Amino acid sequence: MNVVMPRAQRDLRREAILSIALQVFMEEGYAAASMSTIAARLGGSKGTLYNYFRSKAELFVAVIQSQCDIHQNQIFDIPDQDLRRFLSQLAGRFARLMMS
Amino acid sequence: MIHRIVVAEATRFPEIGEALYEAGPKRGKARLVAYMKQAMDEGRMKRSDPERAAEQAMELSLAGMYRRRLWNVGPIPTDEEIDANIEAGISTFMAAYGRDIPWPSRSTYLGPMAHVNLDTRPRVVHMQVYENELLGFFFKPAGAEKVEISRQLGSQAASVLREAIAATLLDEQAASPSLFQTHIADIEPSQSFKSILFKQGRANDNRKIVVFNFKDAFNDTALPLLGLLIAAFSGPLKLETLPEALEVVKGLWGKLIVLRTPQDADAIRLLDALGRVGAADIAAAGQAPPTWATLLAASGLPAADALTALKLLQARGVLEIARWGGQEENLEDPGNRWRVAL
Repeated sequence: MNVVMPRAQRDLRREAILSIALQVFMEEGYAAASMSTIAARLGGSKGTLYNYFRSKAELFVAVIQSQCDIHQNQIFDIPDQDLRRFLSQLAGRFARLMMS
Repeated sequence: MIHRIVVAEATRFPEIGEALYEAGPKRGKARLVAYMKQAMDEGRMKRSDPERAAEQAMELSLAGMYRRRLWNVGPIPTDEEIDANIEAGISTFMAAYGRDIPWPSRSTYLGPMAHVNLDTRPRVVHMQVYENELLGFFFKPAGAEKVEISRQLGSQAASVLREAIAATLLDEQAASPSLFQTHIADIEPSQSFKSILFKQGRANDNRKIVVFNFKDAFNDTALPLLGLLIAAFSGPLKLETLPEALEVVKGLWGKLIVLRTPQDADAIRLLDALGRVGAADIAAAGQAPPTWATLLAASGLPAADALTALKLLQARGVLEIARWGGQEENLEDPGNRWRVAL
C-alpha cells in the first residue's frame, strides 16, 4: 500500500537524507559510497531511499546543490559597504570554504 | 569539503563536476557579476567586463594557496595567512578596477553643490546622498512634524547617527521625543544610495529615500549635520576620525552655495526638478543630461520664472551647460542639456 506523506514531513525526510549522505560521501568518497550504506545510516530500507533519489548520482547532485545553496547564502550575506570591504569579506568567506 | 570529492571523481563521473559547477561557481559568479555591474553603473568600479572581473577577484583571493591545500602541501594556512593573502589579492584587484575613494580623501569629491535654505521656519531638510561621486543637499521648505531618518544603515549605525544628531542639533529633542522618528528602510543590502534614489535616471519612488527632516533646528544646523553625515556615510563614526571629519566639514562649508527662500524658491524648485530627472547620473556617465525642455516641464514653473532661476543657478556655479542644443550662448534653447556643476 502506498502511504502518501505530508509534504512538510517529506521535505524533512529529504533534508535528513541529504545530511547523512553528505557525511557518507565525505567519509568514503563518491565511488566507494553506496546507497546501502546511506540507507543503513538512515535506519531505513534502500527502497525508501530510492523513493527520494533514483540513483547515487542523483543523490550526490542533490547534496551538491543543497551544500552550494547553504554556502552561497552564507558567503553573500554581507552588509552594504564600499567595494573593497565588500570584496574582502566575500573573498574571505570564499577562500575559507575552498581551503576547508 | 564537497568540492574535494568532485575534484577526485569528476573524471570518472563528469555529471558530478557539471552539477557542482552549475550550482556553485556559476551561480555564485552570477551574483558577483550582478554586484559588479551595479558598482560600475554607480561609478564605484571602472568599466570593464564584469564576468572577467568577478572571476579575477575570486581567483586572486586564492592565489598561491588553493593548489597547495588541494594537494595537501605544507601546513594548513592560518586565518592570518588567509587574510593576508586576501588583502593582497583584493589590493591588486582594486588597483586594476577600483574607484573607491578612501576616507577622508573622498572629501575632495564633495563638490560645490550644497544648497541651503536658512530662512524658513519650521526648517525642513531634504538630503540626497550619492556615494563617492558627490553629496548633494536639497533643503526644501515644508511643515514636517518629526525627524525621520531613512537609510539602509544597519540599525546600530542608524542609532548612533540618530543620537549624535539629537545631542548635537536638537536641544528640544529631550523635551519632545516625538519629534524624532527613525525608519530603517528595508532596502536590499547590496544597494547603494544612488541606486535607491535614482533608477534609470528617475527618482525611485517605490523606495524610501534618505530624508532628514528638522523642525526648528538652529541656523547652523547644517554645519554639524554635514559633518555627521560625512562621517557616518564615509565609514564608522569614531572618535579618532573626528578631527578629519571636521576638516572635511570646514572644506565643504566653504564651498556651500546658499539658496534662500523666498527669493530663491524658484531656483530651489528647478534644482529639485533636476534631481528628479536624474541629473546626478550624469557623473556616472552613460546617460545624457536632461534638456532644458525636460527640466522646464519637470519644474512646473512658468517659463519666464524658470529662466530667471536657471540664470541664477548658472551664475552661482550650481548648474552648467553639458551640451548646447543649438546656437551657443543661447540659454533658452530647449535642446540645451544642463547638469549640476561638480
